[in-house]
Amino acid sequence: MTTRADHVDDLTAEIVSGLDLVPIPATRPAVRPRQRGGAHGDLATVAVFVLVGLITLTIATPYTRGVLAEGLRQLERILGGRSSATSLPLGTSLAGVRLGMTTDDVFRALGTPSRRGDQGEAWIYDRGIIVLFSSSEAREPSPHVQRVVAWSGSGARTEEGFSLDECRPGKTFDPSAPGCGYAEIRRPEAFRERYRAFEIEAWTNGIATRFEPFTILSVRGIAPDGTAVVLRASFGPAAERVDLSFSRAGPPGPGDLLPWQNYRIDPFFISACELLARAEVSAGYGEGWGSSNEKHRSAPEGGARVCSVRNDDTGDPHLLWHPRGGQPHEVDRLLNDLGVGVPVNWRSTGTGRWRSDGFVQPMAPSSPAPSPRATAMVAVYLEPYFYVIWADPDLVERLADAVRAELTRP
Amino acid sequence: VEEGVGALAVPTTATVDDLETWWAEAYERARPTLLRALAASIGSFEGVEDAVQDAVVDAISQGKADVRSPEGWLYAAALNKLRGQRRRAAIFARLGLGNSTRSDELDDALLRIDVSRRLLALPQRDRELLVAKYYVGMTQDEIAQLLRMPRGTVASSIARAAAKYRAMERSR
Repeated sequence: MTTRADHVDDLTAEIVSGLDLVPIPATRPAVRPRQRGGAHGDLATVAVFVLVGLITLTIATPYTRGVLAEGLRQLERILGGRSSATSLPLGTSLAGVRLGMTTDDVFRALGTPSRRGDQGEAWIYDRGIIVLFSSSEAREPSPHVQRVVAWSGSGARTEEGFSLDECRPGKTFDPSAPGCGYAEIRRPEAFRERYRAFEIEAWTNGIATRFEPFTILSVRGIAPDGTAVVLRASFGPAAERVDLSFSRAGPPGPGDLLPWQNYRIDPFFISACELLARAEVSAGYGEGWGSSNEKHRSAPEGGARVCSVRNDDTGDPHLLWHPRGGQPHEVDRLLNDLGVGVPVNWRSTGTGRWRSDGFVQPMAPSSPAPSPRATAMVAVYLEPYFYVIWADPDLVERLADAVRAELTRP
Repeated sequence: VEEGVGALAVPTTATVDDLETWWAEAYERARPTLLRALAASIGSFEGVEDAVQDAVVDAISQGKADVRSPEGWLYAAALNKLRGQRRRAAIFARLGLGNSTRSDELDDALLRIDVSRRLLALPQRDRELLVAKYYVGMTQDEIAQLLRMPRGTVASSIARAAAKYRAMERSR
């Protein structure tokens, strides 16, 4: 006869053993114990409710439409002044929820044909905007593109028939042939000639198994002498460790490892962020920057660092930046204009977290930020695999310099 | 279940730094359990990580030094936040402003596992109770206090929820 105690024990065992099977995001972002964002978070919440209230009360009123239109105008400006604003869904782009644009929407806004299934590309637009597509979309260059920075793609999602199930961590990375998790990022020849691009070709070793993260990312640069430089990111089996290395003449081999801590990072951003970090370092802005919060906290005062990290399978990114500049700087204005978040007066070493509800959660209470170049970049999360990075053109130059230097390093 | 973090309460004489460190460690240890517990309670991983982290931040900013079961406290606090988020999301969705249809592999996985699927078929309050009791390991007193239930109804509510769960199991 089953007693109540047996019943309870059974249930405990059953629920525990069952729920323990539930996969969880591989990311284990370090908690930021110094975070003191409550006031801002509260403000954000209040702002949302106020806005919702306004919308509720004034749906379709000229005021509401004006707000929406202004947001779209801002977006248009951000996207190089070429957006077809009317093609953008009004929906979530305002009210602080999400921008709510699909990649197709953005492509339309950029005047670029959307071609699902093609490899992703990353472009720096004029006005210092980089648009990254880490998978699919648009092989053809937009006429607006000034410079190609990097490509990324995920083989598991290409048209070449890769199966997620075939992609296992540790599978040999072979850039010479399609295979598991392999994606050659095709670069239109026109790009090469038209833009003074440094070449980075990226392969990812798959989105990997169902819940496994990327195991290897390689960003291969072609040095002027024809040899390759590989930026490699390898992930531990539990995705809780990421190492980066530069090495010569890929395929990837051992290199100077830079430990990354406890993060699952969108590999594309690893490459982009790492390159940016190097650019910054080379420009003398200090060391110690990384995409992890630990490193972030350790960054020297005054270091301008921005990087967005998609932190887990839910796609929620962490937005990290180190504004050095005056306020309200452009990013603040942008975000405020779009009705996204309440980022003001960030402490010089402050960081923000882009919350899943669309708000930027400040990591530290504000103190005046000093110079207009402050937020060199900010990444606006739109949807998984899609980011718009807003970059300081000077930073972009430094990025380019750093990468060139890397490519030509003996 | 991951080893609970509730066995040791942070010393009431802890400094702010001690408190931060202690909560950060509690978070590290409890994270897998909390994420699963919350996802099973609300049916999605969306926002869960944020909610847990926010709960930790709240604990630190409120100077919570007398929490006997940080795991239970974090579960309840994060759950509360998630409920609020979902209420807001529902409002946004009704206004056509939200994007609440996202599904990802983790959420899909949640539905592929028998236990979580069964839990998700229960009313939310029931599954919250079952998860709190049988997965997070909260005591009835903690459930009453943290989930804001009358102490006298906790046991019977859990028993009813468990019976529904079992009935669902038998009906498969």
